[in-house]
Amino acid sequence: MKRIALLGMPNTGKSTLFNRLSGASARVGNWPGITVDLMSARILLGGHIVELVDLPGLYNLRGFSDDEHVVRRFLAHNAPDLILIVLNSSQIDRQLSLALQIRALGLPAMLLLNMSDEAKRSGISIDSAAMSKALGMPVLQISAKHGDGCPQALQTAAAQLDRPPARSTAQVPGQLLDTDTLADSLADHQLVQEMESIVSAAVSMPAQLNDEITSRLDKLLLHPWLGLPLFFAAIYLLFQFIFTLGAPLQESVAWLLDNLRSVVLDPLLTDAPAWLNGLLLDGIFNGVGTVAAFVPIIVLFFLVMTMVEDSGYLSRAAFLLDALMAKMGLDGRGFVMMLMGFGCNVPALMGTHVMRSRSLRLLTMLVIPLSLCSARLQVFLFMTATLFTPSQAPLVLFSLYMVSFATIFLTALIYKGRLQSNEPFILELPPYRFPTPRQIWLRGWQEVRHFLQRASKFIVIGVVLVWALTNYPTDVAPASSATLAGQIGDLLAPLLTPIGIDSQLAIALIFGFVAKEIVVGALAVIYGLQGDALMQLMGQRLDWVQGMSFMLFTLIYTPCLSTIATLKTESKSMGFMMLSIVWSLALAWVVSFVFYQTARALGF
Amino acid sequence: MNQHAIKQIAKLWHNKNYYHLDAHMPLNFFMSNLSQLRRGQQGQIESIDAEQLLIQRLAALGFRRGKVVQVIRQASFNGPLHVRIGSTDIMLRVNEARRIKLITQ
Repeated sequence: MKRIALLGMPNTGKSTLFNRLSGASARVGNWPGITVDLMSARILLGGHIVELVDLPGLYNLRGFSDDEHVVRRFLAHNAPDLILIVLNSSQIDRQLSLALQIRALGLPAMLLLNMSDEAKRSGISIDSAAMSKALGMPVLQISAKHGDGCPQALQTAAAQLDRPPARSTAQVPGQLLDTDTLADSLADHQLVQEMESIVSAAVSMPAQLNDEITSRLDKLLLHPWLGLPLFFAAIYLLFQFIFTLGAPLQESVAWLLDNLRSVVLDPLLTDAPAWLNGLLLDGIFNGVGTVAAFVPIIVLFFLVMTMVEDSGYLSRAAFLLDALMAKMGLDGRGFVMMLMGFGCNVPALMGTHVMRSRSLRLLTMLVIPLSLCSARLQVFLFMTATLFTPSQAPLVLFSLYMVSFATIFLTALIYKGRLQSNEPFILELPPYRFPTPRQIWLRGWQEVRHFLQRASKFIVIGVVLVWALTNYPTDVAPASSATLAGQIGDLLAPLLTPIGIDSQLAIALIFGFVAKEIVVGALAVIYGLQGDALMQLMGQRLDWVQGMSFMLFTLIYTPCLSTIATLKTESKSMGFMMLSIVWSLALAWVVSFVFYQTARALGF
Repeated sequence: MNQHAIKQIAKLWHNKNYYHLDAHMPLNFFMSNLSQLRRGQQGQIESIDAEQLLIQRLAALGFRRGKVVQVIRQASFNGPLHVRIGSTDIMLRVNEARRIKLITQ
């Protein structure tokens, strides 16, 4: 099967073109030689099935950034039969260098001048025939967003693939990975000269072409003292939109699954042995339910984030917040994801792929799980109602939010030295654009598929494991202290007693690994009571110092299996996932210990 | 002496740490760096004094000798600069802007 790769600088609409050509059939795949996910799709081209791969955006084929390494390694290990070079027509005077670099390598390529509609509007005209002659490759003007010129581009690509290769690509891998040719500044100089001569021959550009609307919007949105309040207002509204709309959707998914269970599965499995019934329903089926519960939130989150990102506002947020975030080793986009983490950590972690430096991404992914998400909020609402008066409860909740922020800052400060980004932080502020509904929808759909493909197995296995821990041996009451979970709780008693957590609460914490939503339900099973009776009993058994210590621990330790699974798939590193788990457990223990012992020492 | 040179001297007088910060810079009052421009001011790029990674990235975004760059605004709390070069708007931190040496009129 022939392979076509899409290559271009960031913000050139490369992914939009990929989505247009591939429809919804794209999937994430592994490639030899590289460690990041690339989207690829099989498409029909001139009677043949070809594989289309979307490479990460890069500025320079000889560059040193993480993405530039990835592209080089991809090209060296998976030589494509054709490269589609995508560039932004309005910026052709500087982006053409990439096409010249590809040509210098002797790789078969064609050039797509994207966003031709925008360029025409601002008075740029490009003579693609002259440019094609000068470059020695086909040049076409397209608009990936609206589809103009895309069929012609596909036809030309098909014709290119049918031609026998003009030059062997055998020497390409060596050239690409050879560091001596990488730092050749003389070649750079010649390249710039050639680029300038081609542009002056084939392109006519007006002297000034800045978008009037964008300048005006920037005046307001980047205003020295209105910019930040407007940012927080916008984020607040988006947050409310995602999570007020998401909650009923999640509830209806849960309702559907509950009914499926009670109407279909329970009667089907009544005759099955108890262990099989438990494994299938409480293990696997609940695991599937846990995965399904995230689907509405992920779709909504990416519907909104695609708008924020493609409109150009996300880079503006980075601009506004950079002064603060740079001190923590993070950037403004990370801050947006962190705030979104207060709704749900999973999509926030997935959203970090807008950050292209790996170390910056990892640092952001390390702090996001410390954001007090809505699932943890449910536990805290229950616990504060149980242990505090109505006038105290809001203060306790507020203090938990403050602790959440404090742990985020602390973690960032501790790890920023180790996960230092070596990439200069320079971002383009593209003109404001409206993404099309098609773009928005495709993105949401892709992200959900990505999550289901990668995370669901891990989550189901985890849920089954916790079910086994709390149900074996079979001759004792489930979730009691005689089960494996209870025995683990007893084993950990020397660690948990100093922070005021007894063996029953320890079992609840083990359940909490699956998802914080089930902690309250787990407490009901553990104490064998429900609702008000459960609250009363817990109020008698626990004092507020113990309760607070339990809440602090719940706040800081690993949020849920889905978060762990996402951490693993997004970082592609088991080691990083373990670091996140161990760090959050250690931090949770230390914070609870300091709180519990101080409170006891003060006589509470 | 033209007005700009007088302004530069006033700036040097005002900021006594200036010499320590940029000791390696030639004392040519007509040269400055991007971080010293104020809103709306522009200058022509003379050189970029940085490591290969930064030079490459800046070059790809259009920062090359002879190009004119204009400061649009700076974010609060000494945040990054919003600059315009050709048809592209870019944000960069003060640290990086300091490496871009300019000739100003």
